[in-house]
Amino acid sequence: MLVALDAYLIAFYAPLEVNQGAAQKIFYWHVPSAMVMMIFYIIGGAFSIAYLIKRNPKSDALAVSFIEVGFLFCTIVLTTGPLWAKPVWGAWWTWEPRLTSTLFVWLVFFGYFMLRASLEDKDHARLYSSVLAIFGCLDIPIIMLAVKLWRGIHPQVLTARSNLPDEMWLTLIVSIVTVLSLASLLVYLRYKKENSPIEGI
Amino acid sequence: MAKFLALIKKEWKLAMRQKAVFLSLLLFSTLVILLIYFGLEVLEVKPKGIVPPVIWLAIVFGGTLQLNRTYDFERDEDVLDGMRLIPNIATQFYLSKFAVNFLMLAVIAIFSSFVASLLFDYPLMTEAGNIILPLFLGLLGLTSVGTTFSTMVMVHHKRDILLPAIFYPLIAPLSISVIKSMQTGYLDTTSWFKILLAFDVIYVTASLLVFDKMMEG
Repeated sequence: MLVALDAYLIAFYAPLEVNQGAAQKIFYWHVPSAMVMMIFYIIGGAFSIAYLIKRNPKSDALAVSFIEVGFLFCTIVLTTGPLWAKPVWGAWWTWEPRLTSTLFVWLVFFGYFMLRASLEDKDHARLYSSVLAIFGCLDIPIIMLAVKLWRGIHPQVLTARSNLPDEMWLTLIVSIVTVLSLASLLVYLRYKKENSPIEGI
Repeated sequence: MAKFLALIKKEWKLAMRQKAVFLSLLLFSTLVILLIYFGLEVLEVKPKGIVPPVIWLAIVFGGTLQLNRTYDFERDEDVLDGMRLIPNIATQFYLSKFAVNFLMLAVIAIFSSFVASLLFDYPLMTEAGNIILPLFLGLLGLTSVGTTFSTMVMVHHKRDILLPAIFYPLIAPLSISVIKSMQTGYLDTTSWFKILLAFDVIYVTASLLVFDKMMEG
């Protein structure tokens, strides 16, 4: 229902941006996906710390669920970014700092899944992937610091509140709620799967 | 302290037994520099700023091979299980591995710097002031993360592939900061130094904290 409402608002309610045209509408999913990615990675990192301290498999199951969904939305950010960049900046990929840093974060957590899938011993897989998740989460602010130094040309969507018409702002809020709800549902399903005796590691 | 010194002595003896392997690491780093030089041959005049990334790449690639060998002895002889039986050994054990890896990587760094300066006609002695501190801080970060990660992949038969795959993305901000610091010199690089220092403090601390848990198995 929320997805359908959000799609309607994006397609018919939110006005076309004068300079960027239809490409700007990508931002209604790009920005919330970036928010979900960050929030879920941090929550996943927190559950990884909890696993390392208590060694409770439920903490690990929650950590992998949040990180996997965070990774999915990180992939969406990396896909929608170039889709917007091509018509607006004229190239699919620019070494724009925030795009580059998102790619680094994506690669770090790709390694998380590689490591987890590679280790046959379940306890080792849980333990070492928790360590990698913590190291990955610690890396995010360092990457962000490096990004600031590179002086990005990334559009500041959320700080440009005063420039956004009310229709665009409302659509963005609905998109954030939609993406957050969808991501939470995915985490719930992934957690159930992780806890099932057949699928979980 | 006595435990730490005994572990350092053990690590050093093991390293000395494998001099030939270490020489091949130096050769590998030289080959990396040579290959980069061939790749850049199209540029008639090599920009001065090209040498710091060349040196860093040689260290990272050569260093990865060294880091992958961190647990050669423990893996083959199940020594790690015996180490786990000694109380409160984790931190000293990690630090002994860290110290030997740091030393090996430092030798690779010094050697690679000389080879790169020779091939690229880089004024190493005049630039030494600009590159020593960034390289030192870079090596600290590289070794701390690398030693921890080599523990994770130690038992895996495809660790040669796995270690770089999980290691390189994580050290990306470190690599950028080291290269930028070396390229622009001390006075212009306060912020890059802050990132380097932050990376080192965070990852050395985190490594020491998690290694204890990793040793618990």
